Amino acid sequence: MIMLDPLLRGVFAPAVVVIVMMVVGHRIWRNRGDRKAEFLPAIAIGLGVSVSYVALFGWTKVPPAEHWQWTFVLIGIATLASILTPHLSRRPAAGAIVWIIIAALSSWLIVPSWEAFEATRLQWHGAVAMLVFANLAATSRLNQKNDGLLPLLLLCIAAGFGSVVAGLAHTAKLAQLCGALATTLGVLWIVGSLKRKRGHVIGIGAIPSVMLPACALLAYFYESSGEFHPTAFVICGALPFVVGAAVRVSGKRLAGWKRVVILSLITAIPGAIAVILVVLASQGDDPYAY
Amino acid sequence: MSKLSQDVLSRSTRVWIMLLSAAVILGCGSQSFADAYKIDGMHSSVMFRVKHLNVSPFYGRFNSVSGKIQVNDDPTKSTFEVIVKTESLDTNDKKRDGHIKGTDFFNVREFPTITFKSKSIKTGDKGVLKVTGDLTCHGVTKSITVDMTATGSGPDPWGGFRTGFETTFTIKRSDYGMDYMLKMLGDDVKLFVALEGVKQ
Repeated sequence: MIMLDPLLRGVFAPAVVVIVMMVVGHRIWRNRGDRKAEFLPAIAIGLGVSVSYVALFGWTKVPPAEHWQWTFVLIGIATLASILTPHLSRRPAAGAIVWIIIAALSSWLIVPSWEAFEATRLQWHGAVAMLVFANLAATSRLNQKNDGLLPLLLLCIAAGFGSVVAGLAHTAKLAQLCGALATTLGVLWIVGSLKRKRGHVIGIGAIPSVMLPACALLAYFYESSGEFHPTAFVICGALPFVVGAAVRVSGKRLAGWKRVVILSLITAIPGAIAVILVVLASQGDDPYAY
Repeated sequence: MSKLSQDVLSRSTRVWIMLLSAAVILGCGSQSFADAYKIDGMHSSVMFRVKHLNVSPFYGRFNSVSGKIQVNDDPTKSTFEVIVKTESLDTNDKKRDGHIKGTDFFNVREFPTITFKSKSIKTGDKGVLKVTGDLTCHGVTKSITVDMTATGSGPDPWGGFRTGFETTFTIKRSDYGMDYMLKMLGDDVKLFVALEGVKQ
């Protein structure tokens, strides 16, 4: 069932924020050179997802009442990482230190301290930190000059799969958050395609690198029936790494539509596997068909 | 010992017995009796009714109910403590249960119980007890007053003694931080609670 209200809050609101930020922001910074505007896409996505979060779920206190609400803080951390990325990509050692800090912080905020995960908590902390670090490392070097705007579309596809998996795992809130992320990335890709400006891609990978593992794994942690295996959720959380690695490895060997199709398939196939795994586990394709 | 002294002793013994009996009777009269009952989850029910799409109500239940009741001969001194496990939610649909147990509604991982602890009781009309207490749900505690009716009491076939109570009341789920999808599932949730206690 499609309802207008969630669409307004979860799709149109972040889309409008991204469009306004990229159009008005570039107008303000157009005379200051492209380098100065590198942070605009990061802020546009971070603000877009934040606005969507507040519109959907309201303000969140810190510390929040519910564990999943740390995602609101994670949006801020991911946006900061995204803003820093263009600068850190030129200083690999500093970049690695910052990615380690962000990965550790993300792991601390994502993995719950509930009794149900007492026995495996340490492993989860390690796995989530490694996942976020791998995502950040793989996506931090993506930039428009070498890679074009395609990474935005691929990350949008990845976030879309994250949204589907979180939704299938009965966590509509996390699915909507992933959906808002997919919307911002998709709109940024469209804006960039219509008005080619540098700085639309560089650093952008940091936000899905943190938010996709957060949403996918939180969906797994909250699912209480025990019917799902974590594999599908880990695959979703690793999709930014898949995008980063695929784009870097393919380099300039692929071009044009062939590149778009092959890289989209490389992103979509693991995403589809994750969806199939969750559907098979839940024995149904629509968790809200009741 | 002479017969006279035996009579004197027996008379004084009788006086002591009478005095002690009077003291016990007076003492008991100044304080009320309380019987402790353990809630029998098998024969207690907590059900809820919520409107779907503002069209028709559907009903769900919690299959795990526990707690204790102190029944006092002065009803205003009775107490109720009810604990419901949120994981035991059952709406006769696995997918719907999964959704309602998740972050969007009950969040059973973080809030595994719903509790009610009575704070004060007043007697109402026709023996109805106005029970005021703290209802804690989804991490939010609010004071509510419910009309509790004693439904009966008596011996069971296994040599025990049982008592029963029943109440129906309505809460707004948004008051307890469950304000998601208010247009799809109504804000007003009517609860039907029937408790059977086994005397301890």
